[in-house]
Amino acid sequence: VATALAINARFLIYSAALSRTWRDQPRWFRWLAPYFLVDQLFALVGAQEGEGRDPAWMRGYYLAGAAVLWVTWLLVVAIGAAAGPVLPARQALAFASPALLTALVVPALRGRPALAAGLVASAVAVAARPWLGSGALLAAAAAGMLAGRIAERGGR
Amino acid sequence: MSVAIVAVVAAGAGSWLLRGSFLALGAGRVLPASFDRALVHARPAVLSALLASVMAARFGDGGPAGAPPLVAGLVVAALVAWRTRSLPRTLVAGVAVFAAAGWLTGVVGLA
Repeated sequence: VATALAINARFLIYSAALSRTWRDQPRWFRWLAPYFLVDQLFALVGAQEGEGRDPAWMRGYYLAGAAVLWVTWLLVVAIGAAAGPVLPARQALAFASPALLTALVVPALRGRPALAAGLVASAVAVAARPWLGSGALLAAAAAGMLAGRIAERGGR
Repeated sequence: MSVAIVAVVAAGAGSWLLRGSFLALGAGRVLPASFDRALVHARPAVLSALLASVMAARFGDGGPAGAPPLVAGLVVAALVAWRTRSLPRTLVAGVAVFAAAGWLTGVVGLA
């Protein structure tokens, strides 16, 4: 249970980060949206921040993204369960998860503060892993956000 | 109701509570200014930490012999993501290079 909580604690940060820009969203949406919140959707929605989108547009974007991810997830799980055992080169798919995360991370590393946040978070995630286990992720995220803040101040 | 169903429902509720903590339950609350500002960097920080954790786990699984295909796959995936900003292209390029480098070094079987 503790491990599951530590791994999923990042959703607390996602929730807090989105709440900053979702203050004008209606209540029904703020109660429904968490059900669909996953890493990929957070990355996609975060990429739209600072683009001057109005709340209705963001709501539509989030719900459309959620629908696509949900349907895709169901289809892919079904296909994977059926075809997985007979797929050639199954070992190669071990890199699918890092490749997907790379596709989400790289666009997020725009500007010096974001780069600092990413580099420090990565270093802490690896360095703290032997001691903190799954909790390293939360420590890494906190260290990364702090580094981003410091780089932001230093750049002024 | 069986224990398994109770556990699934409890896990689902717990998961929603984490995701909805600030969005639904804490809506309207003003966060401390320093925390609020730091959250701007949540996306690069958390996603980078996730990637680093996954890579560290893969390095751990494969040992030193498994490192070259992982590094090759990561470098190519990062380059493709940077140049194209395309998720499918990054995914295909990263997995293909990982598989090719793994096959060349004898680490990844393609049969």
